[in-house]
Amino acid sequence: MVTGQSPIDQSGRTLTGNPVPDSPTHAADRRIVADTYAIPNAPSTADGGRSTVHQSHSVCWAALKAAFPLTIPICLGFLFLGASYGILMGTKGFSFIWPMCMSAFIFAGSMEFVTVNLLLSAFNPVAAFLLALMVNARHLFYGLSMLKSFKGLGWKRPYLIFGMCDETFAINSTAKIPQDIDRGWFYWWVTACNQSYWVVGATVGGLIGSHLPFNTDGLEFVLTALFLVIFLDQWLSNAHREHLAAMIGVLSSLACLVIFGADDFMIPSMAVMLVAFIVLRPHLDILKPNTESAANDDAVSSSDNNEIKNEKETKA
Amino acid sequence: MTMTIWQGVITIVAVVIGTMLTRFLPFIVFPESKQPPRIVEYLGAVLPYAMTGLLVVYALRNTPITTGSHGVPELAACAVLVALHCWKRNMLLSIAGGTIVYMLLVQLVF
Repeated sequence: MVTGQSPIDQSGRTLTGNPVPDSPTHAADRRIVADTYAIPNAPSTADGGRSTVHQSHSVCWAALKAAFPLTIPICLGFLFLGASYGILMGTKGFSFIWPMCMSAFIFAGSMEFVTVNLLLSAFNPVAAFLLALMVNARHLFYGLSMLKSFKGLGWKRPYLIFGMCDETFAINSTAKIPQDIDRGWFYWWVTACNQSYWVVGATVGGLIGSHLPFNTDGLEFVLTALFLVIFLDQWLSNAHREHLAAMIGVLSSLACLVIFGADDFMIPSMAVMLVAFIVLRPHLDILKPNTESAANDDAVSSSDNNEIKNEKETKA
Repeated sequence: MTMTIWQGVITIVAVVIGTMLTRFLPFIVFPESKQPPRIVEYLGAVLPYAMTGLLVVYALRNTPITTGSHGVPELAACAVLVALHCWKRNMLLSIAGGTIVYMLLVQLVF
């Protein structure tokens, strides 16, 4: 833990007044308390031209310690789902190389399962491309949500965008990153941990086939539980307008699920959501100045973290 | 496998390009150097809340309501998870509790 608590951050500001994070597991539940724009302007390694190798090592290490506990449920879910995917490919006659490469390069769970069927039907890359666009259309909204958060992260940014699967987005868009943790490295570790779980799971599944040692029926629920917990955290830690935004998401997708069925409801839901947000903009657009995000904006521009610190203290 | 290896590889590359396009497009259309339009900033602020809601529905989309277990394991597990979370606010505990209840129900009861 010592490495994570360097009293001086990369830009030389003293952070002595900062609450020191306790054990990672313990801190996890508080950190995930969701508010997208509560992410403080954490020091970035990019601006520390004079930072030594040792310092950047400890910055990187501290971020891993903050990020890892949040990925534990995903570890469980991804090893299991990845393995089922590898096993599925194995039973269809593919060597483990296929699930290994597909999980590393496609890295979008549901699309990989769809691709297994594509590989078993007639050769049609254009249809495969269009299907990938439709199945993954929700990523467009993830991107819009993270435009601001991924700003100024330099070489890490392309990988963060590449690896933004549902679970990684859910963590990165809602995690309350402590002030003394580097934002870029935090995102990077969440993304890298999650991807490695998935690739390892898929590869191992492809290698061992269907000889799992214990009954894993129902384990896939761990990812449902993750989304529900993040949703709850957002709900419990926010006020009326955020609730309205969350309800728009739930109701529009529920309605579209009933109308269009489980396989085709994603794109209609996104369309309904978009319309609802545009129509309700007069009600919802004051969301920003009214919450911490406004304080965050100011802090970003003036390089002064005091406001956020105060916000955090009042919240805690 | 009905395709040749190269046909398989090309299919996968097509899927990779399609997937990556959906991930990179917003960042290409609204590059770091330029201030995005006000409405895009607004959507970026409200969408995370809605998308988490959508992901919950998405994760539960295949729950059988009218057949089989009638969604009882899902409902029970979600109820336990919500109760645990309101009580302790511990993310890992809530996830573990909900998942264990679900696994026990689907393995032993339904």
